[in-house]
Amino acid sequence: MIAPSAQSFGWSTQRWDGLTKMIPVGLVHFQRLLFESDGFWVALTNNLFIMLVIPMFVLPLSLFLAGCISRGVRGAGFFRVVFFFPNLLGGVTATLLWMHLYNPKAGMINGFLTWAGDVATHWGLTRMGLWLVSFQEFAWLSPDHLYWAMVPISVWGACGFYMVLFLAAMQGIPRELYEAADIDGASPWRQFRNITLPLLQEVIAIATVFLVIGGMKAFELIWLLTEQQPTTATHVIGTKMVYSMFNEFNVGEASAIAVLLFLMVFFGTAVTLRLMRRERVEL
Amino acid sequence: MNDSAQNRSGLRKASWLLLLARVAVFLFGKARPYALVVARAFVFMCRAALYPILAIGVGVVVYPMFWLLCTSLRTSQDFYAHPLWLPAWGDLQCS
Repeated sequence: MIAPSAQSFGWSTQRWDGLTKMIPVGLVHFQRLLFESDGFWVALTNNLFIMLVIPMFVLPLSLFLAGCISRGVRGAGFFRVVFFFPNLLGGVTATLLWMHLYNPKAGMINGFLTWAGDVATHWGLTRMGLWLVSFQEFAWLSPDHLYWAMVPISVWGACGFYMVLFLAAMQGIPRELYEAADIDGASPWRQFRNITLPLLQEVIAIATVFLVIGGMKAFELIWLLTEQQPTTATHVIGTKMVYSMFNEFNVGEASAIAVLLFLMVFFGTAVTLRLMRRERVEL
Repeated sequence: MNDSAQNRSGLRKASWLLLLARVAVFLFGKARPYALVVARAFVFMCRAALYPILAIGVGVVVYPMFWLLCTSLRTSQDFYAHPLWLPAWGDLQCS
């Protein structure tokens, strides 16, 4: 584990295109990335968007679904399997599927919105109808809208996994606690807030760490949605690293990005765990 | 309106008021024995409301995959002519 990391750090101090002789340049790549170029910071901002915004949607929705299913609805097994299903598709397939859905001319999203606009106009809601029809040929995956367009993709893909995670944790909570709360007249919301949430604290912390690390390492989604040609505005750290390595043949800079990425994941995880650390709830 | 009809109407009003009072006590006051009944009714209603929500979730998850499957069986012309809707079974092609 240490040898490849040390090798990577060694390459980050060289100017090298992968073929010719290495030229030692010290910490020039780090200096350029951190202090002389906007590209790295823009990519980091995009990573932060994925790290912060996507968990804000994924975690509550997964908790909600897990809460619904854990309360003994009929067909809980069916719902569990269906919601988990997008995880079986794999990232590339799911992204290609959503690229089709977001297709400006033939995508389902624009088609549905336009159809809904026509229906709204037909029912006399002209203003709303015109607004919905304005989405005809709307380019969801343009650099301006790419990251917001990623939110439904991520929610669709991730909710099932986190729902199963929370569901497993919820099944470990003793039923007696809920029965006692029922007898005391606590509403389902109160039971969720005062029993379920505190006992899921650790699992929520782990899920948050997964999402933060996933946001930091985001690559394939952006790479595919931008058709392997991200612009400066749409790069994340991962795509910037691959772009430097295979399009610009700048192994030194790519290695420097890799080192920075490692440090950020390491410290990001530590900070997240630290912030979410609480006194353990004993049953 | 005769006396028995008036009495029935009054009883109905009283029972509604009692129910509302119980809900209010349940929501804002301390737990009472009858709060359990209201709580059970509330839980039942919540549970019934879960199914439409879960069904919408199932639709959101499954329909894109079903759409992808159907699209993979359509010609490009048909797809671009009617991108949103599913094709008729007779139009699906395997080659």
